[in-house]
Amino acid sequence: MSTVAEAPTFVPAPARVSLRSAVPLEVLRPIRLTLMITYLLGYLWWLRVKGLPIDRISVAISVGLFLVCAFVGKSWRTWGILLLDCLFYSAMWLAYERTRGAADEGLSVLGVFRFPHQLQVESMRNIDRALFFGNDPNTVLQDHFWERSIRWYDVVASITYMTHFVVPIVAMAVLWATSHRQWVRFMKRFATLLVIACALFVIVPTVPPWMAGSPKFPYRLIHELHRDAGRGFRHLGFTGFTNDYRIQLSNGNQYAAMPSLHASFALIVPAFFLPWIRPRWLKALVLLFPVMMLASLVYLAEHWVIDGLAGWAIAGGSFWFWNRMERRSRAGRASRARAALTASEAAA
Amino acid sequence: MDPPKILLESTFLRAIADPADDHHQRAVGSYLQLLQQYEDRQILLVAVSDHLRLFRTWRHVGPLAPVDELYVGFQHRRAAHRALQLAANDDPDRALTLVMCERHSVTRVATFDPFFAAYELELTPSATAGIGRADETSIDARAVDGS
Repeated sequence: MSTVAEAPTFVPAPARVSLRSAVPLEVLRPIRLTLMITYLLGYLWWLRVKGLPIDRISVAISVGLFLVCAFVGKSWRTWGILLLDCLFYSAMWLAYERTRGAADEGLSVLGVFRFPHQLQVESMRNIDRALFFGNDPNTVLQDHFWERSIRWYDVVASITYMTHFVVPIVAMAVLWATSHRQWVRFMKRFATLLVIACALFVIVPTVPPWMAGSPKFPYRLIHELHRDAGRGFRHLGFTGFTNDYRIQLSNGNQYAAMPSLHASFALIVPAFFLPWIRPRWLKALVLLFPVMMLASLVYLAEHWVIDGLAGWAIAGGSFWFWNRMERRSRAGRASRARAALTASEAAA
Repeated sequence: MDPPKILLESTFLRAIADPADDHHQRAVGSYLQLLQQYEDRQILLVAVSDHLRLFRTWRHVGPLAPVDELYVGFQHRRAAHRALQLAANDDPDRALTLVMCERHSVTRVATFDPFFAAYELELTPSATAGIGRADETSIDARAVDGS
């Protein structure tokens, strides 16, 4: 204080210049933002009028359009990286679809070895009964709650079920547009989960609960269960979606029940974003989502409980593995840098 | 979403890479602290690709192994060219550094160049300790600002 008082000639240093005033505005940024907002509005309109795009091609087109909007004004190199990412993304889903198809009749490895098609009819149901003291969670839930009229929990269960087709894709698109580093981190975990899930679809093709009770199939393990995951969604006026969904279902592998990708995707997305969520109550709320998903899957007769638990376990394992690998990679790069510095000091 | 980025400016990179540089010891001391923070996932180390290329031959090898490059595209060079007219300097490298900081939301810079003290950037303290007398006004200004 006294120094200032004794220095009347003190001239304050000029205020520091903000970067925004020193660097010209990125001309295409407002255009990019406008395009992204327009896309979002267009997507919502499409969702309301035509339904939710869920088949792989429609989803790929919708993600592609979003990325074109989000990458306007980025460098050619960034576009090149995006192209490579898209190829990887497409290859991943293509492999997934092919493996799902192969699970229907067993998988031949180079024409030499063939995984037999050992359909699991009772095993998952028996595990569920062991977990729930002799009760079938699917039948118990439907017996208590399923009614002819649509109740609020039908809408909640249906919406939760349908988020499977949107939430992971939105997460990927947002990460793609905001941080390529985080996109890569997410995709490592996601792809690992898909690979393990596809392997299990081939090794343990499983009869899902709705099929186990359906008179159209010969199993009849439990009494017939209602299967209409879209009815709560339809109740909200999204008719277009359900039609597309039925077409999609008829093309899918109906025995791809173990593990549940619905359950694992519902865990992997919140778990990835959890470190950025500060309030504990919000963390707890976010982690409630996978629990809601599993409850919905069981109520809607889409999966056994053990399918969902297995999905969670694989998602957890994928996180554990990649967290460890990334920690090792960081430590390796830092220690290589320290060693090189020490070597250059010694040489000097 | 990423941890805060620390941009290693070309004077800092040179000081690390060249044991004969005046700032070498200070740079190494500061860099070792940054490496620890990097390992603890508190920060990311980045450098402008044009600058990094001069001091690193292979990625993930040598003293700059943990440093990620901020790739300079045509639009960055164009912006740097226009920034030369806005900023009171005639050094394209400095202008490019400012552009890359702005475009990649970098607010912390490790540097021995007093030029950057005039901007709203948090300069790595141990690095700025080496700045000469002519730059002390700027550093005092930061203290007055409470930054």
